[in-house]
Order: sequence, then structure tokens, then C-alpha cells
Amino acid sequence: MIVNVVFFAKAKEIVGKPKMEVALDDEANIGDLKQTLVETFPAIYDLLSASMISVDRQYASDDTNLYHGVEVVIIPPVSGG
Amino acid sequence: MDLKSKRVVAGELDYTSLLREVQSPACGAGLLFIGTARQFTAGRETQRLEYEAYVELAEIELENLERSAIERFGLESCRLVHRVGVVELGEASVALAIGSRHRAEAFEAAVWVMDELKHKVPVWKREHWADGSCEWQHPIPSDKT
Repeated sequence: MIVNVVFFAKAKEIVGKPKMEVALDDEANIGDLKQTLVETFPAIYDLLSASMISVDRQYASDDTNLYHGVEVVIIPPVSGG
Repeated sequence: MDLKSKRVVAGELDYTSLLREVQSPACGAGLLFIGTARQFTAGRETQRLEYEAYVELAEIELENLERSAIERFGLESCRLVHRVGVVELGEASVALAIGSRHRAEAFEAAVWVMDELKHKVPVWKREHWADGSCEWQHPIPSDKT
């Protein structure tokens, strides 16, 4: 399946673009996606470890299953205010 | 700028209008807090700030914070908006307006809301330092910044 991953702030800077399509096995979950991202962009490891992940605008955990076409947003530690 | 429908806005924050929105005859207190772009942080000079948001989720989280503050502190009203894009020194990046029957709950709620915002709302600050470098700020979650 293909999932659409959205990046903000430093995560976007590391990846070099605001969004990308990632190909995963059909049974993949958030943990698998993280692993794939780290393999592709080793520099994202520390930030990704500290990030929240949102799926369909809800916070998700590593064991959250993904499906074809879903939007996954990487939310690095926030710094508003 | 339509503050009534949007909590994440580009361009200058009209915080005096925000304060007017929360005032009513039921209130004995109207409190306005603004967070502004500061020139020096730990001795390092900032030229300007830039903010980015995951707008769809930030709108939801800001609205949730308003509602939670009203319930938790028994406020009459609460409005919370955050600016995105470039914010020059001295300009407001965030504005919080509270209307309450008495002042104590307004002051208490303002501290709580701003702490929650800094930990929960998906907005990011990028420091544009005076030396020409730029840096996204990603405090680890246990930080109180």
C-alpha cells in the first residue's frame, strides 16, 4: 500500500519536502512506517523518536494499523506561544 | 481576519477585538494575555520569528483548550488564537482573552492555558537569529519553555 506522510518544521527540513508517498506492506503499522522513514532519512531518528504521529487527525501509537491512501502526519515536539 | 471562525491566523493579531469578544455584563474581569516576539533569548539576539502550524489539528486543539478552560475554571468565556508566518520583534504571536466573574479564576486559567498550549498545540517556532542562521525549536516534551 501507499501512505501519504506529511512533515512539519525540522522534520520537513530533514526530509526536504512537506509531504511524500511511502510504499509499505499491506499489514504495516505506524512502527513499520517509522522504521522505513529512518532507513530512508537516518538524520530524522532523534526527532522522530520524540514526535507524535497523527492518523486521520487523531493521535496514534506505533501499533496503529495503516491503510492504503491514509494521511499520516509527523508532529515533532511543539513550540508555539 | 475573522477571529470568530479561525484560531490559526496569518497577519497581525487583532487582540483588542478578541478582548471585546469575551466581555459581557456577567463578567467582573476581562483578561488579555499576548505572547510577543522577544529580541534576546539567553543572550542570543533574534531578528524575527516564524511560526508554522498543522492548521487542521491546531484549530481543534485551540478550541478544545478554550472549552476545557471554561469548564475547569468556571469562566464565562475564553478565546485563544495563534499567528502563523513571520512575526517581527514586539509583535504578538499568540493572544488569549478571558472573561470571568472574578479576577482570580481568570489569572489562574491564563497560566494553565498557556502551559497547555506550549505542550499540546501543533505549532512550531523558527528562530531567525541576528547572525543570519535559522533554527526550528523542538523542546523535548518535559521542557517548560
